Amino acid sequence: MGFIGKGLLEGMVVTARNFVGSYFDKERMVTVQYPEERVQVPENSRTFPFLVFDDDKNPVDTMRCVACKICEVECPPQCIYIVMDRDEKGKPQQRPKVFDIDISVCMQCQICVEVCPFDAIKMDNDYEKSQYGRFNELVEHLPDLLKSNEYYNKIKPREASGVDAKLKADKEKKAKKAAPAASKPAAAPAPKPASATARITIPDDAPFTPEQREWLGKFLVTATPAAGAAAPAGEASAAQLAAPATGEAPAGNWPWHDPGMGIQQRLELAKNKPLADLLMAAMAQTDCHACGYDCRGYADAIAAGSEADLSLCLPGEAETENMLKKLMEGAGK
Amino acid sequence: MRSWFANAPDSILLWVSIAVPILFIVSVFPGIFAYTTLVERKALGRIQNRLGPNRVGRWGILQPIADGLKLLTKEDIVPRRADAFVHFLAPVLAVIPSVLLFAVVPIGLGLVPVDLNIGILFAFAISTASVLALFMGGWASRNKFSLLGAMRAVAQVVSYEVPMVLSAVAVVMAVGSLSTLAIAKAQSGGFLNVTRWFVFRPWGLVGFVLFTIGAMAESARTPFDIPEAESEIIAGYHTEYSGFKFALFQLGEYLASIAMAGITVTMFLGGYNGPGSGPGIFGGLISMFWFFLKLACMIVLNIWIRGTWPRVRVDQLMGFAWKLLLPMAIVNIIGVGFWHYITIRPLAWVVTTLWLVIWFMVLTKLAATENVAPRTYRYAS
Amino acid sequence: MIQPLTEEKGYTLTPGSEGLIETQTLEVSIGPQHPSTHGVFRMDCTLDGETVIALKPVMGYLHRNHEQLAERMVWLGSMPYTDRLDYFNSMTNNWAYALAVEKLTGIKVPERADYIRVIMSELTRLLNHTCVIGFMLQDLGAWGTPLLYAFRERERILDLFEAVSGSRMMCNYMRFGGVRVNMTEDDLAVAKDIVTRYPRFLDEFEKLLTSNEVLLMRTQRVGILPKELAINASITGPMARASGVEYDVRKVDNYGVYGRFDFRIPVGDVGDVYDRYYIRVLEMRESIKILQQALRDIPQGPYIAPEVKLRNFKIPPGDGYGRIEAPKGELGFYLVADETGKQPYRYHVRPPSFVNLTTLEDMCLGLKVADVVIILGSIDIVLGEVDR
Repeated sequence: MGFIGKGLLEGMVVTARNFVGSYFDKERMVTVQYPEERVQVPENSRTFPFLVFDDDKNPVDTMRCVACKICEVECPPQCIYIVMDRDEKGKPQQRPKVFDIDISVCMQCQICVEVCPFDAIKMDNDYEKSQYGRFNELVEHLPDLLKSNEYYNKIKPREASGVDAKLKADKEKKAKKAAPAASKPAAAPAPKPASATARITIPDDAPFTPEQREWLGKFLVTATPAAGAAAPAGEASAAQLAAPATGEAPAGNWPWHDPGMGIQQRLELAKNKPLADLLMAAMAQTDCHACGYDCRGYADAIAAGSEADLSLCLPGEAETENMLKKLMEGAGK
Repeated sequence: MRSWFANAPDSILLWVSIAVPILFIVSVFPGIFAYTTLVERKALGRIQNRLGPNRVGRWGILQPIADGLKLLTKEDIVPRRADAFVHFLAPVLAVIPSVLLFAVVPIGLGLVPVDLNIGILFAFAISTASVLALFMGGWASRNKFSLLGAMRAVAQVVSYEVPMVLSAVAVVMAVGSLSTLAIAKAQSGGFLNVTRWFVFRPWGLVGFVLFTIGAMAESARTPFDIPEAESEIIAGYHTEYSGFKFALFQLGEYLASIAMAGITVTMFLGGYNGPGSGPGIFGGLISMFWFFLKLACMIVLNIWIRGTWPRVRVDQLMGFAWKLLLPMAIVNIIGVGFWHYITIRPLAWVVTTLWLVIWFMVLTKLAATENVAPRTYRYAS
Repeated sequence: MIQPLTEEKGYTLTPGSEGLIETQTLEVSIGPQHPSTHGVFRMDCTLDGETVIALKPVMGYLHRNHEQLAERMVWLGSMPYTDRLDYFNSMTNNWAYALAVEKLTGIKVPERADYIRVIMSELTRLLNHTCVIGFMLQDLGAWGTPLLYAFRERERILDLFEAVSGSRMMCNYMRFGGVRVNMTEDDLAVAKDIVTRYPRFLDEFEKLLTSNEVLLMRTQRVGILPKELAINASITGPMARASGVEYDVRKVDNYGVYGRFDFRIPVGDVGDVYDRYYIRVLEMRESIKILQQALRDIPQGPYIAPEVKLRNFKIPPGDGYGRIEAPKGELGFYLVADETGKQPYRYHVRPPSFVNLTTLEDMCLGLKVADVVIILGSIDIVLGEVDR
């Protein structure tokens, strides 16, 4: 029996039920009184990026970022600005000097996290980032961005433990590859930074006059950093020495040394140059040391034959690897 | 104390008898208004599965004071091309009738500020005067939306006056007097002072429904809040008002709705009558308690309806008033006539009830211009 | 002898007065700052009293150059921007773009990824339709009650989106060839829980609304869209189905794994606001059916095609159009790739709200101002899509 007004009264019953239920039923009173109570965000929640370092006592040295600038290139709104740290001679260190993220531009898309080959940049879930200023206060610089691996494990346990396991596996694989290599003669593929702590020695059968040997010895001591630096021994270093100081020339000598350039453009600029230059142009130009060298060093190593693995250029990925293969086949090696 | 009152000259007594009710009304009813706004916000919040305001003072008790202070200290903006004098006068004029309405509402046994013997007539005359304020507000703002709101307000208030007054006429006929005190007194007696309330008579129930609908439309409450329909014309006639003038409009509207609720209670729900109300100080206090309790129930009903139903459209509103409510009010008057002249009570009950029910069904059929009904749907193959 | 006024002299005549009463029409601009235009949207209305004589929609207040931005970014880089097109339903926008790219490149999507996409898309449909009904009732004047009930359910779905993809609304979840991360068993359990309690919420919602006489009076026979006009104006989505056009891209294209699910398409007859509202309620019930089937049948397996690269992703030259049934209509992406292949040469979005808005004037003529707002609410627009 439907009289006019029945639907209206049914509606009022629903409202009354919600009113009464709001006192007893948790589902019918959904207010979370911020800031006294906060909603527990799920693990995957993402707000803004941060950089991970591994050792609390030395954050700057143990940060995973090597300033390869892949995230800067891939960021859709272009909110990241990176400047690689170089020492007084201009040699690139494997870390950023300046790493700015403008969080008023960042759209939290997580693409920088996905493309980073070193698991260096991850997403935070801290959303309380209000500032009182509108411009400079919303740019986060390197000290603000560095957070420890413990923090990462705390906020994202599952993801962080996966990353830790992967990094450990990678390190073990590299160590295994380095171990048989270290047993080969000095002309073997270059040992990776982690294992190379030996001082450089000039082998006895090297064709140098005593004066040259003396000069070389002094040069090696002053030109390479102290123990712990990535100083490949033997012929690889000789190949490196063929280029000025530790493999880095003023950038003007290598016009293709720009990570923003496409590979075709780089190869155009390196046309009709020696093989080592072509090989270098095929790489990603980020000097990120993912391969264990800087870009010049890797190219020289491949050209000299001391490095056989063509897939080490992580930023360059398959494109660089295929190009390197093609160049090596074309050169008949 | 009593001897001082007995021996004082007449002029002093006159002033005292004028001052006391005025002070009472001016202090109590705006206080009720303030806390009605708070109760409304919290009740609407709970209906909508959220807490209402609870930051200012425990449970939000100080929220109305905070709102009042905020509105007082806000900048008073008058549009440049607005008619400044009328713009200023409109909110003032909106409050005056609402306050004056309380002069004829009996809040307890014998407790009415002015015992006019044309009380109900006075109440309706005064409440209609508030529509002038709405129109002045809309017109003076020189804003198309405000004008639309003002026109709708006038149309709505004027057309809902008629069924409201006619349903009140039914009560007046039953009582035989226009005085609110007499109407309240006529509902006393009976079992527990309850069974003689007019709402328990068939014509009284119909009258109660009609009067409540009319009262909601008079004070522009949902579902009849077209003059201030936020989603269509932003805020209607009070769009261009800010600060304390806006507060005065709200005060006028809420006070009108509380006062109309008071008159509804007086006419249909037995006024101050209830178990234990009677002459004497103690009985008088109990009668005040019953009055305020019933007033609170009416206000809660208003808030509940506001939280549930959407708003009607203007032409549907007018259609509803003129095509359904007005004929029903006239039918109701005839029903009261039947009730009065058929002296055998059970027969009177049956006849009046049948009369009203049959006419209700006929009128709803006639008034339904659009066939509105839930539909069934088919599925694509 | 009173000379009757004629329209040649420039007067507006009141209908039925035979030229003896001159009235003035009122030109009102509803918006762009207005509580119920669903965003910054303006309508220039010409009113005769309360009746609408002419209505011109003015869009473009939210134009953000989405299509041109995509031309300067790589293919993956515009995926987060597609979230912000129809900012209410980000998952379906992502899927449409991923589908368009997959059509251009022929990437095969693994089964589990397709099931996950269907689950996310149907959840999006649920939350869109409840909120549309909530917003429409808010415009009607029910002070927030249905809207807040709708948002209460939406919050649960948004919490699931946050747990899976990282963000409540701007999910950026679909990738070319699959989805970004896998859905764990916990997430599937949460989804099952949502789906189980949804019918009860829908029943309560319907009890509040469907037979409410005020709602019926306000929405029936208002804003009728005839079937021929719907077809000619290429209206899609629930709006077209309410007018009687039996067209649903899910059934026509059978994209994803929709072909495996058993669901029906509700169709209305009259095409007024009430039909559009009720079709959405019925579609929600059908979505719940699809979700139940998908959650039951989801297989294990890879969640993204393994051959897809994140960086240096190239598309061979060509063009293609990928479309899905977004909750608001047919959302399509037209992509043109040239020889370089790394960035789109042309990237065009076919937004359902924009196309559906073109019939606004035809639906509103002769009705009152109050109806205009409701009709706009029933078309279900989101300005992010309309203006891109």
